[in-house]
Amino acid sequence: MAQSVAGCLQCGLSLDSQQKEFCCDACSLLYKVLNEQKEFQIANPQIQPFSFLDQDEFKDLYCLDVEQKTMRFFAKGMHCTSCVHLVEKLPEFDEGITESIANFPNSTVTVKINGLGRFSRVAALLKEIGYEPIPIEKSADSTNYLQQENRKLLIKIAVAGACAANIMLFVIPVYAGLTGTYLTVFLWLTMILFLPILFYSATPFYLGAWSALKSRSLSIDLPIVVAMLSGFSLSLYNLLIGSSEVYFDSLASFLFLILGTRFLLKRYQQKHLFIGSLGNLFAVEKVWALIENQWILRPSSQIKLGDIIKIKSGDKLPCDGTIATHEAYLDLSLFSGESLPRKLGAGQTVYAGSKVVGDEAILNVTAIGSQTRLGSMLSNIELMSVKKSRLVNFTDRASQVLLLVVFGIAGVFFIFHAQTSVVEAFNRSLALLIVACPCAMAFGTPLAFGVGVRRASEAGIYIKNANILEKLTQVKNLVLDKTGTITLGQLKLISSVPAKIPQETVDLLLALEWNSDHPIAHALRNEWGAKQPSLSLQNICEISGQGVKAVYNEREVAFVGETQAHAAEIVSSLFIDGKKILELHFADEIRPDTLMTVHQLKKMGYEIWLSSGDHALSVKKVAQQSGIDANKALASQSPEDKLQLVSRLNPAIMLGDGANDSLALGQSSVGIAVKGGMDLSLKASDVYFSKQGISSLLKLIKISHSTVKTVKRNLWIALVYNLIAGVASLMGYVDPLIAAVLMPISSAFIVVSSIQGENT
Amino acid sequence: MNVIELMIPMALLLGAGFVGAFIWAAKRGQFDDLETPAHRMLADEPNERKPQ
Repeated sequence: MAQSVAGCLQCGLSLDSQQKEFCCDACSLLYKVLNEQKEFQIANPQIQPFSFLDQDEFKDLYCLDVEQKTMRFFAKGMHCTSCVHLVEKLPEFDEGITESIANFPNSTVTVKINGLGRFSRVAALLKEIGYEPIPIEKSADSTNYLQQENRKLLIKIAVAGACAANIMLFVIPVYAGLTGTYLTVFLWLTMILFLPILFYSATPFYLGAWSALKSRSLSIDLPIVVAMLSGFSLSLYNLLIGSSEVYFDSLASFLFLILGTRFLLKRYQQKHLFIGSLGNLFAVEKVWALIENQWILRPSSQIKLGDIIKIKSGDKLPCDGTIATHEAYLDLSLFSGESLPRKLGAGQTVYAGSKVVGDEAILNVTAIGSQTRLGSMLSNIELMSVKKSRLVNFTDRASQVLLLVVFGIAGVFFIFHAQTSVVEAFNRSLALLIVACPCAMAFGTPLAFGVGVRRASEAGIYIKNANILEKLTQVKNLVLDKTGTITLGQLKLISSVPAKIPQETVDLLLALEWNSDHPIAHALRNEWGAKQPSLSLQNICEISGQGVKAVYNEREVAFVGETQAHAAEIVSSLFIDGKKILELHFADEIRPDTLMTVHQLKKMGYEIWLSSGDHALSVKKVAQQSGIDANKALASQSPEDKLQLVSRLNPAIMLGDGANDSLALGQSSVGIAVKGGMDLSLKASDVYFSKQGISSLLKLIKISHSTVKTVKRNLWIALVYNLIAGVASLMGYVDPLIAAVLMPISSAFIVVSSIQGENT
Repeated sequence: MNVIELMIPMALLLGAGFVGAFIWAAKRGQFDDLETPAHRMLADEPNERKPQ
């Protein structure tokens, strides 16, 4: 069959412009094996970088079982059918591996080994076939817990559904006019079938109502419980006195629907959160520690005060400490938002989360865990999120009002009508409670939010807390972070003097900066390609803090940056034999979509603030380029300043990517973390954009508007329905037949209305 | 004896049987991951493929 469509030859996924035949290495490998009758050949993998996984300290941390034979890895890069297939083939590559099970939606692989197997080899094999293996810590792994919870809820739903369906079956003849002994038998059967729902499936509602009552608030669970219990007792009473006004069928289907919609909302949120966050949350936490004069790799959690640790270039500090070597270069952007690394001397204090650039750094540990600056920020953020989850939003309030009104009317009616007939009054008020079904709130709202969350996740926006969909439509203050959020977050070559650079100079510069991890080296490689030039340089050495020099063609070349701490640009120059021949200008540019997004947001009436840790000149320039008012662009902001700004503007939406934004993200009404951010900002935020830049915000606002519209429409439907049905039942016009027909119709109406949403 | 007296318990037993089967399946993790198995079955096994 001819391949006419541009898709991966193996799995058929569409390819991006840089890929030729296959979407990934897994596909190309599988294709070769399948079509050229080859055996799998895996080159001997590099075990050494993963050998720490065989140490007992790390096994304790990562192994899922007591025998220490199972480990779960996050396999970064798993994305197609071939990936699943290849990853599950691990036991064929190594006789020490007995089982390998992929979880595609979560991008994880659970690997079991036998006595011959070693985890370092498992990780090395995963790496070799093209996935970045990140072992998942046992304690950080919520999968098992969620799995158990989901299974329990699923069984509850199944029981409720089966019972509800069977009850329906038995009430059909009753409505059709059954009389005599069979009527009694069938009604008793519906009662018995309702018992599993009452005592088993409905337990989440009892727990929810009770915990809300304990914290002195009304939750939607309470009216559900009251309606269910009172409906049950009324029906049971009628059953005992021989009346056929029995409502078990309505109650059962009502509970089944609520449980089902809640489960769906939960699944959506769990699923998308997991993919969105895992890659960032589970970085390998290991560090070299000096133990008895030897450098030994240890889990970060076992580092103690006073230990001496060594951090390699590109790694992050796991704890606070003072520099023990002569000097070190650190990327402090986590706290300051500054894009350039800073030079720090011996004895200076550095904080956990900073990144080491250049040579490795040796530190004396001065604070660990929650004592670090990062740790205290984290505990603040956790406090904030607890407070936030207690806030009541409009839909909750509306449901509470509606419920209080219904309860009130029922109570008042009972008191007045009781003077004529107590039994009749009790019957009618309870009929009101059952008929005035809180479906709009009980499952219409979660369903509408669930649809909103799903639509957002399709657009790459992951929502942790569905309530923010409502808040987004009310809040008009927007605070943006600069570096990495509205700018690219990395240096880019913007101009040079002279403008045209000969190829020989390009090669020379690439060769000079080849081994460097400095942002400027990255900028050069991004600009000119990452191919190692074939120039031979002698005596390459770093001029600390300034640049590099070397000998080329017996001439001395030097590439030196001018440290202009207060300029919006960074200038670096190339010297040959002391003569300046080239000047390069670098800056952190704004993202191409920023200007358009800011413009549209302003048109929608948003007040946009820019809050950055960077210095005034570059902030001013970026504000100008992106169309943000100069008086709302604030520079040199510490994490605490950002927090203050957000609480002053309260309520406000905050968008950011660094840990220096996380306090503000936690405090804001809606905190949004942008891709590229680190775990702290993810923890503090309510929403995660998996696409870089702020343009997803427009989509999110649109979705939240349509969701809130749907919720409000549901509430209106419920209000009108409740008024009519409520009055009718108080007048005594609603007999069980009409109630049983009306309830499912109104529920179906709400379900259709929620799923349909606003077709935007 | 009316046939319905036999039918009702049988219908209920049948229903209970299916609920039991569902609970068994859920507890063994059949519904934990609804996506990966769909991918798993798509891939061919190299050994089973006939030479062309």
